Amino acid sequence: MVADGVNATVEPVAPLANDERSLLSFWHPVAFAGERPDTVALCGGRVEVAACDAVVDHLGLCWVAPLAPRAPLPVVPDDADTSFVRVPSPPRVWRTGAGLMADNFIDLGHLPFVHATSFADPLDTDVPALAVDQTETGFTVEHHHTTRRLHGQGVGRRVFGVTFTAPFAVVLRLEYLDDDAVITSAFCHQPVDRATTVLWAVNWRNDIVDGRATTAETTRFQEQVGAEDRAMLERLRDPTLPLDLGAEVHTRADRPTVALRRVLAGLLR
Amino acid sequence: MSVLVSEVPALRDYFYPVAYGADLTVEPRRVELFGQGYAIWRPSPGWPAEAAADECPHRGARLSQGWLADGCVVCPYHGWRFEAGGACTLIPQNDPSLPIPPRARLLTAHCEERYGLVWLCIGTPRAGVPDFPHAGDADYVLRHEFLEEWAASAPRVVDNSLDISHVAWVHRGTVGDPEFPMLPPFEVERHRHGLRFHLTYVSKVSAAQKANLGMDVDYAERSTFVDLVQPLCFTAILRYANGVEHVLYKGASPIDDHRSLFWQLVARNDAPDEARWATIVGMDRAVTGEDRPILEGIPADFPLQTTTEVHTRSDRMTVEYRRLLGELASESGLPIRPDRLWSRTA
Repeated sequence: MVADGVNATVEPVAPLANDERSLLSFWHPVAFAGERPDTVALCGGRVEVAACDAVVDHLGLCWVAPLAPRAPLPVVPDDADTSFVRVPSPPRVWRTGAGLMADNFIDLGHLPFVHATSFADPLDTDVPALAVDQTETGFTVEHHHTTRRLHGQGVGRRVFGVTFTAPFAVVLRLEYLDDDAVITSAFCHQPVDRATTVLWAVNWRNDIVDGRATTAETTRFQEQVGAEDRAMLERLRDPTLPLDLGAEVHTRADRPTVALRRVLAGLLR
Repeated sequence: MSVLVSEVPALRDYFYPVAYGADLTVEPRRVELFGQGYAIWRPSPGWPAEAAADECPHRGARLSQGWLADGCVVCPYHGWRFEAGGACTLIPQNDPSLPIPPRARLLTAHCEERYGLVWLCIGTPRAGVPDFPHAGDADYVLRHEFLEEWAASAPRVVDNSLDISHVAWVHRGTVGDPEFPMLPPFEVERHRHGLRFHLTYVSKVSAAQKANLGMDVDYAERSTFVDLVQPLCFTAILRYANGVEHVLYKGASPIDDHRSLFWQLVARNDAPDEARWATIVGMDRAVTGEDRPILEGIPADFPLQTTTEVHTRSDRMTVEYRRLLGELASESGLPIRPDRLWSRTA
């Protein structure tokens, strides 16, 4: 024991891999709601659903917690609002880690570069110092920026609200101020094995009921945006998420993704 | 004892060809050496090539998916810009008045262009790009022949190039003849980065070779002067009785433990016209095509202990090659694994 930590060796924080067994103590999406598969691929092995600590249908998906969960299920208030239509996207298998995918969906700085052809405003690159409201199991953050308008020409104002729930659930609430429309997307990740993740994405829109958008457009748009991210993420050298803040270079614009690393390191290390 | 290329860190201290210079533009492209990805690009058309680990220090995205702007390579993920030398010059998300973190740098690699090839050294160079004396000699004409991926480990490819006794068997369809398997006595001389030897033996002169060499005999003596310039780079002067010299520069850039970028240039002193160049390159293609399936079937583990395999007098150069690689492997202090064959018989 070293008094006051002086000269204490600082152990490097290991990166988070999909096959880490401690992830079994969290909720994970494994199927659509109503389905009850006998076994599911999770965290590098197969999990018997009947033997799980908890199984529940939530947000249109079937969630399992193999061991007592250490974080709550993600919350989407718009799911209870009848002006919103829920649009689940087909599950997609990505060849990368769930931590990196969650990191990408939270990240604000990449939007003008990776998504310039789908929705982003390539000129709006600045990300200010954002206030991150962090808890033990997640955080929320809000960013005001401009993107291509949803129902009009040119660019318009958008509020980008992020709610992260450990380990890998990211809910984005995208409020298009100049189009009076909201799209909420929950990106829920099933860590299958070290380099494989199933993305379960569910969307809610309040512009379908009035006929301005369709469910088909919604899933098609999300597939397009997802393909832009996927081309980047599947080529990263390592499918694990660095939790050691010294392993990468961070700037002020990275506060949300730094918060992600802190929450996961706090829960898993 | 045996090693894979990843277990010989000293091999990273040499330059290896990774691309033709003519193919490199301002579009970053990815190459691989020793199992790691590198991005190579030209800051402007015609400028010297630059190289760096294909990984942005911010969130690890591949720079080879990016683009060039104002002479800087731009990361495709967040638009960070890096100038030649690796320093970050722009973080678009940040207020321009804020300083750029000093750690925001690319991990650059040594990059040179010679003989129309882009060469990378990912370690600390202990030698420059190998010298090809005939490349600057007005009596010789240099041609690029091959730059292609083989599913064979780099030391195995070079070992094959050093080995003369396989010619009679593997190349019996082109330049070898099993009727002449014997090699005369020869000496192997070590030098700082490699080894050299010289011998003269009988070579078959096929119909294609007769045209290539301007000879009208079925068999001819061929003097071969081999120089392993560096551990994975080899030159051979094949001199025929009529004075024609077929000079090969070749090697294997280690993509990883199991794959290599096989490359070969040829120089000739008989001023071939285009039609004859086509048959010369065609013959070399046929010869390397005979080696490739053999090499792709040999395990990547390279034996270092000279008692592991059975050697004969004609294997002197390849025995010496094992000693040379053994010396390089022992520099690292990494444990050298028991040989696969020994563990199998234990």
